Amino acid sequence: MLLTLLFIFLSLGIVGLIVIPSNKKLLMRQYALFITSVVFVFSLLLWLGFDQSTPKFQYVVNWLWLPIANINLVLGIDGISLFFVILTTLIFPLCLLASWSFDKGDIKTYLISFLSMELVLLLVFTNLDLLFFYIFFEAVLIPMFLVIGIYGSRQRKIRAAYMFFLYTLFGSLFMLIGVIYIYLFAGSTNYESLATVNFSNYDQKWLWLAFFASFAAKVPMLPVHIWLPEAHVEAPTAGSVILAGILLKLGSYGFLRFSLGLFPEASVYFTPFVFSLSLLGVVYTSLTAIRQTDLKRLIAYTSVAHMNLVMIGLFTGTVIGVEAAILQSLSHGFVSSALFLIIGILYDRWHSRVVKYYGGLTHTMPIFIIIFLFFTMANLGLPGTSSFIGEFLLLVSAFEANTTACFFAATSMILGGGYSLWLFNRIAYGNVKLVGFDLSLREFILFLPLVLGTLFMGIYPNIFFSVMHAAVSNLVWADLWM
Amino acid sequence: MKFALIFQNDTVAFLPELFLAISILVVLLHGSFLGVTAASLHSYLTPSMVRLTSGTLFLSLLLVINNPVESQTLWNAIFIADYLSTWAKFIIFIGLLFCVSVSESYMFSARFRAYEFFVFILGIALSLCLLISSYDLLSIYLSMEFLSLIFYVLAAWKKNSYFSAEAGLKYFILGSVASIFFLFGSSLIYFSLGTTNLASLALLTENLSVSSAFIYFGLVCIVSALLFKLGAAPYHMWIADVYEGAPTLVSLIFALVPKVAFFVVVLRIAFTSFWSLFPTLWEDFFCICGLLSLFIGCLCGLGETKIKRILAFSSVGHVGFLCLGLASGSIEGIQAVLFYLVFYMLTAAFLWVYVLHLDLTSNSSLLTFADAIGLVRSNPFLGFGVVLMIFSLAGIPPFGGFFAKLNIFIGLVDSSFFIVAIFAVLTSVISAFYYIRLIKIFYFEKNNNWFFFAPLTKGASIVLVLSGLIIIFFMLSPNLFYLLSYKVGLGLFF
Repeated sequence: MLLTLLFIFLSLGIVGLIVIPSNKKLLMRQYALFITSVVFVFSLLLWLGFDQSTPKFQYVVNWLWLPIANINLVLGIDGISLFFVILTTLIFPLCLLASWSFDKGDIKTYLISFLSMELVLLLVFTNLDLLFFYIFFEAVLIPMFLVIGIYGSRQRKIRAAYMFFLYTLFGSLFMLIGVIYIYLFAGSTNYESLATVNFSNYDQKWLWLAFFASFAAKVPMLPVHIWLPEAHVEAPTAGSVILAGILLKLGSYGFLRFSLGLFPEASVYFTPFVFSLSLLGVVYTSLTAIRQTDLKRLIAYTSVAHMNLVMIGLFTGTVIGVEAAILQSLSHGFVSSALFLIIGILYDRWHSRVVKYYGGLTHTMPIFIIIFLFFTMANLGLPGTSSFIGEFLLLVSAFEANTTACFFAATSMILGGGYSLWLFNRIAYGNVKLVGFDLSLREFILFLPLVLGTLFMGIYPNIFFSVMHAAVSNLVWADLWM
Repeated sequence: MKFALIFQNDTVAFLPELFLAISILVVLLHGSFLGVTAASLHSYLTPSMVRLTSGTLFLSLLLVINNPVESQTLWNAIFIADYLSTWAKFIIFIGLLFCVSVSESYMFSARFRAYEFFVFILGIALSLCLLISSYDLLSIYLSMEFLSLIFYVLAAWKKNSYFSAEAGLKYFILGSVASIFFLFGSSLIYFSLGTTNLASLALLTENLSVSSAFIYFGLVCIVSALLFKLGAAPYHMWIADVYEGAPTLVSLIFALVPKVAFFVVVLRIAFTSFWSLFPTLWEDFFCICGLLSLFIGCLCGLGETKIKRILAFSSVGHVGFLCLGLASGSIEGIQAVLFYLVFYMLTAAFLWVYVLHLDLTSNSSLLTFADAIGLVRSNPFLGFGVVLMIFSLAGIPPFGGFFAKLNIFIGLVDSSFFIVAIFAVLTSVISAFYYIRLIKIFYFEKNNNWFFFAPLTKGASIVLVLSGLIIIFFMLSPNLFYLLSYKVGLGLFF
């Protein structure tokens, strides 16, 4: 019921936004912020009413869409998807707040794109039907494509938008064929029904590969990660935040929910493959990140490294590993969003993203630098921040599963220290190259929930883990891996 | 008296066609009487013809829906009335009504004051109705020729344009060759089986164990001719030139209406008469045609800079998908084809009406991409709708085009055509590239010239709203349509 209310509220909010005349820009911004904030409160209520003792799906909504062909829209939340939902609803009001002074082109289309993106993303994370998961997974492309293409900063944005669109489309059409095969094999696409279906080993491998093609482009795994730096760099700040904070989680969520949940044997079979690709991704993108000269591009490459680390956690097949992967996803959602917002603040003031352009900001913008320092530390996994919990537990479980993998994964901590600290060093210290205002109140408020969230997750992670336990234990059959 | 008794039911089931045939004569008389006075040409002739034509089409639509006969052959089994014919006629009448309702403003601005156009539209309606309900190779041929003659004239209709003359001539020569193939193929089948009636053919080929090469060759000729009319791949040469050269209003009719009727004929021949040849002949044939069409549709569209040509190549690609739906050879395949036809017609109606609008407002008649730049700024709502429709054509969920493609894929995977499905996936990614290039033109590029807000005409906006609403309705609740297409498909099997 609560979930239905949430979706109805958000949909009506989008309709309301269409009605507001397009010259009342402030009213539109306030309205959109109000809608997204109320949705955030709704999602917190979902957490409050969540029963953490059961792995079953809660707040289930069932809409008979095509009952003759047994394709129905089923929504529900369990311990895995709850935090992805909350992450989504938290990031969106922050994005709208961050783009408060963004005034380039048509604001109405911009806000409608963001609200519809939130709607579709929430539908993806709560979806329990394979076909509808695919539909909404793809539908996210449309508003994001428009946001990058219309509101991007440079002429290269068109190339970026193309790459973003076509890479994801290409991967996910294979998933579509997989979904159709499953539908014809099992006669249903309902997740809960499919969990009881035993696919043969041979089928599982092919289906796993079809799903892998789609999710790997979203995570992104190594050979298909090219779209990510392009898209992140060319998108407007709020778009980059959504891309890094939420869209990348679609990949890991998909792996967790569908690849591990439906094809456990194939997941075990392909674990070495995933490990190798992820380790290559971690080391390679960390090294690439060190030598970037564009701020956004640098952060984009660190995102790839962190998400590949998450992949290792998912495929260790232990409860600790999977839970740590989820927590690391959330933490990455907070930290990389914050880093993109930080770059957005620099870009707002000086309209440049070149690292060399900046220097000595600690003298002129102390509050900004404190926040930047905090998130730099969070990015490299300082104890006390959320990333530490995530990375530490990831490495623990990786050590249990595969010591060599653990060794290479651990290099990410060192390399992460390298690029994060060096970046911070170049921007914060040295001669004063620029003079500008420190954070305004709006910008400070923007960072506050992210700082608090990161600290909270780092100091008392058990409140998050306790919600996940039941669902993750139900998902992971550790004996398959051992 | 005796005549009345024998053909009583036939006359009842044949009422729409009879009504259309009589009304063609009436409309022709009306037009020629009005047309003699030069003063009436400007302000009176076109509106009155539009009203008369749309009224006639609407009344025939009602007659079609009101058909009392459930399933029966007519006039010594030359024609048939069944679910498929009823619903296909319904669809083409809707399509023709769309065409008529956008024609008035076009006729005015293009300075065409010929009433013959509306007579031709009614002629198209009649010939398509005959084609849809044909149940004999000969009647198929005759009604196909009836239709083609009108189309040749319409393609060459813009007398002062070289493009139009080229389109008309190309269409005429290539179309005649296709007709010859059809005739040759049916004579081969008549030679080997001794009948041209589809039901008798079905009975004869039901238990056909050793089939002669004549039958295969004849069938290939027949279906090739039909696929030529549809613009499927090895026979697609005319389509881009004709769509580009013909007046935009005529291209709109070409794109919207005849596909349904020709697919009905292909369905009847492949699924009713020669269903026994399914695994051997049809699968290979339709797969090859479908894959070639997809390939041509996605590759040739990449380099195009003219909107009409791009729509032509996209139609080749979509016909490819339809052929793949036929190749699966199951009831799901038929259902997918019917689903796809309706969605494609509605989406194409939306886009072609937009092209018509562009044709009326832009200066050049070539309609390159440069004319379309800045659509979103000059007319945001129309731009938004067009972008959604293009996403739908590209098959991006959650729009109608995705569900249409999904059904085709379900049919393919159900028949274990995995490689074919993967190939179709690859081509749809490539074609997505040029679809989103269109969106780039509409949304991302800045126009340097002045532009003006050009409101849509009333008829065009009605068409846009109707097609958009029907698509949204089917997206939200596809049950009705799903069941209907299943029922229609079931009626096809002999």
